[in-house]
Amino acid sequence: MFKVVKNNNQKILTQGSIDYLIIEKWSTALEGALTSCKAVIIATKEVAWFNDIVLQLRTHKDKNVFLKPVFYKYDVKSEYVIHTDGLFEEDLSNEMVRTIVDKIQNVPQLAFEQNFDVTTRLVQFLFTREAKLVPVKNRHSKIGYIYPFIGLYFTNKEYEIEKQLQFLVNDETLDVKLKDKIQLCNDCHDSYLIYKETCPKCKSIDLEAQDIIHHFTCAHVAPQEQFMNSEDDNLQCPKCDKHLRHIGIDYDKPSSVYNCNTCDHNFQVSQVLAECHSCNHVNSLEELIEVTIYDYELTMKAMLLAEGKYQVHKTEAKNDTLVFKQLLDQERKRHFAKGHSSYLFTVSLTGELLNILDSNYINSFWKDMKQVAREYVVNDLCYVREGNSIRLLLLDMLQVEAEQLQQKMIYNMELLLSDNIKSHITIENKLINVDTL
Amino acid sequence: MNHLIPEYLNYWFEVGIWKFIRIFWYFVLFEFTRYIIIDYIVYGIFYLNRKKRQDRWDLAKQKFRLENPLVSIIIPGKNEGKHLYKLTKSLSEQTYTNFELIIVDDGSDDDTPIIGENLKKHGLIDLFLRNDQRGGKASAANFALQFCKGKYIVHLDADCSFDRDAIENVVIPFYIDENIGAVGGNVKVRNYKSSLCAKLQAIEYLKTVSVGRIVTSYLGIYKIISGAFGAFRSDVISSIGGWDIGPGLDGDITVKIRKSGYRVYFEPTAVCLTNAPEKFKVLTKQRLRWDKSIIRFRVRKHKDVYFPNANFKWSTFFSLAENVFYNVILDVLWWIYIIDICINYSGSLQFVIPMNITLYFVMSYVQMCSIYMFSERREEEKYLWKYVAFMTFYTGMYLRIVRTIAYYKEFFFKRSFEDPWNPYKSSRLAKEHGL
Ligand SMILES: [Zn+2]
Ligand SMILES: [Zn+2]
Ligand SMILES: [Zn+2]
Repeated sequence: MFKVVKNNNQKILTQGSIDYLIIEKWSTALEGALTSCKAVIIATKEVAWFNDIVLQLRTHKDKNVFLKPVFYKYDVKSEYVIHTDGLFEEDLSNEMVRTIVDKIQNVPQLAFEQNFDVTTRLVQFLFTREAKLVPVKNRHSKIGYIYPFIGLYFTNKEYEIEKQLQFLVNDETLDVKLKDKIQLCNDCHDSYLIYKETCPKCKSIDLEAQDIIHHFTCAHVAPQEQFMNSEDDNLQCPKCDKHLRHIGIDYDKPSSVYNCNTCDHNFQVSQVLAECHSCNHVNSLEELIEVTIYDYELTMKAMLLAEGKYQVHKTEAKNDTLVFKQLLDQERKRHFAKGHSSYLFTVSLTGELLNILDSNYINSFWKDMKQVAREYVVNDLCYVREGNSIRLLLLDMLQVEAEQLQQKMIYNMELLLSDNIKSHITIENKLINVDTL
Repeated sequence: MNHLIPEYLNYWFEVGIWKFIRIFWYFVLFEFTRYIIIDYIVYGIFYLNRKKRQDRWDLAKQKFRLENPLVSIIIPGKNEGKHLYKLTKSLSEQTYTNFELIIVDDGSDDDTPIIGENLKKHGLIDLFLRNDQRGGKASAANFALQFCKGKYIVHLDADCSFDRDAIENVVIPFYIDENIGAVGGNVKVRNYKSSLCAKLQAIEYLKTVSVGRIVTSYLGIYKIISGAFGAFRSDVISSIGGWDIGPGLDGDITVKIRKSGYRVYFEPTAVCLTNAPEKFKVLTKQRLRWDKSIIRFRVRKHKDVYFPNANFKWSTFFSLAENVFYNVILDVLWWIYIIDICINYSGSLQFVIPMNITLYFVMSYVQMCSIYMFSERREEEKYLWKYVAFMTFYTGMYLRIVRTIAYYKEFFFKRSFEDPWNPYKSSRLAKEHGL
């Protein structure tokens, strides 16, 4: 059913029309074979070799390599398995390879090619996988968690991952779900901290806590020790000699007090310090660095973007159209006062000249247009540019008002276009009541 | 109207001295002798001895400075957080610096725990103790006592502020006479300009605290070390087991110290300023509480001092007896006096009442003169002179009525045990044990 072909010392497993490159140890000689195979199987029992292979593959500069489906044959108990696509299992793996390879083809070269930074790679990786980035608890990581894929780019600097991912969250590429909050040593960013109660005066850990007893009848207050009767286990008040029988009736314990055996200081609130197990730095709680751990997931917008189904123009913000559509939908469902409505105003430029003109000129023209439009729309969200046309949403007004705005816009637009150009270009515009859409 | 005044004057000219004393027996026997004659005699003695007293003071101060003892300042209270920062400020200005500051937060339900821990962190206080459950002022003070390391303990209220030499001056008397077990500070009203109610209290404090206590202290019958500002010898206070439950625990601990054989001293130069209630409604509540404690502690709890026994001391006897006499018995006598006048002089009330008012009016100003002579901040207190006219009504009527109500309630119903000032758990047991 499948066969392993040995070719130039490289083993290839073909199964269900998929070629798996079998790697036992990384070497640069593999490069050629890598591009021609659809997937990789790591077949070593050496953890170091295993890790090296994973690292080399996932941090490879070629998109076709770092996104490649990677399976392993032996469970080597390496934390690096989270960067792979799992244990090799004939049918299951085949299915996965097909899906992943399909998606890799959909990753648009154009959007990400020049900008080959880590976050972009991550987005591509997530897009071709389950779209989820779930950190996993791990004691060997300094922050106690390891991140699939992106973790390989931040070995020993895991605390920086969250910051990097925050950029993607801010521009709506990733959604987050709170998972954990962890404290790190201020000095070395390690999470292996030993918390200890100490004396606020001399920092000694040699403390003793004592319950304080309040005898109601005579208002005597003292550490429990002073109430202990040496002959029996009864409590007896040293001030008035009465026996304390019943907590809540004869006496209570309103608090407890620490005594420091080193400097004899008394206090109620001990100072908690966090000693770092790696660098011995003693952190006060205030100086600990808090890092929030999230589960991440690609947003719908990011998925569309990655597939190129999301219309983007380089000079405009990417999500404008989507928001505009939502606003438009909202306006259509809205109930207006009598005579009022919202209007969709479209202006487009057509003409052969537009294809010949310098793109800088066109862009600056639209930039100026946007300035003009700003005076007529409530906010920037009601303005969207798609190629050489713009759409404006005029909110809640009378038809006459909308028509006045329409005329002013066209007038201003004509002023912006210089005469020699104007004659070669046609301006089309349309004003539509949203109710009629 | 015109013929009324000559008729009024004529009446008093014809009455004669013995009848005058008969009609105004209350004033002549009690008020005039106690508050005018004795005050002026003591002032006279003070004036004559001033050189000797100054020498004694200087010597004591020298000994004190040489020894430089640690003083533990304790401040128990509930919801006093808002005053704490100002208080630490006031204390950091003190001429005497060898003190530790211990704050006890007795079950506050506001930001006090946060403020306290914060001040401690910044080194402004040495120890911040907190009871999650309120135990009452006495237990809070006793809690602090457990951790005091000083030779002397100064007890303060959080809402007070202090003259720069107040802490020093309140401790120096311990070096005048080693038999002194406790020293009371001079409490004055800080907000005396804020309302008429506060002004009248300011005058009252000058009379009863500043001058009154110089006199009682001199006579050896000084009876109450104000909780707002008092100093105690550590060994004495531990030997008597600290404070017992209040209200009125200030007076109570003073009696306990007297009973165990120590002198109690008043130091007029150790000045502490406190805020007095600005409204009569608040003042009435405060006074009801104070006055009830007289019955509870002077009459009931410490009744043994009135009987000859092993610990019997004349000065303690007089101290309490004076207090009880001038408060409780005179209060009753005053009502008897009213009844006496109403029955026997019902026809001459139009003469008797104005004369009474005149007498008290004149006495108020005569007393103010003695206050002026004793005072160490005369200029500021001149402001109060014009309000002295109201004192006749303030002490003569208002305070008397409040006092009567308090005594009546406490004497017959032991109302102070129900005072929300103490938690129920403590009051219930105290009542059972007759404390
Ligand atoms: Zn460290
Ligand atoms: Zn007891
Ligand atoms: Zn210590």
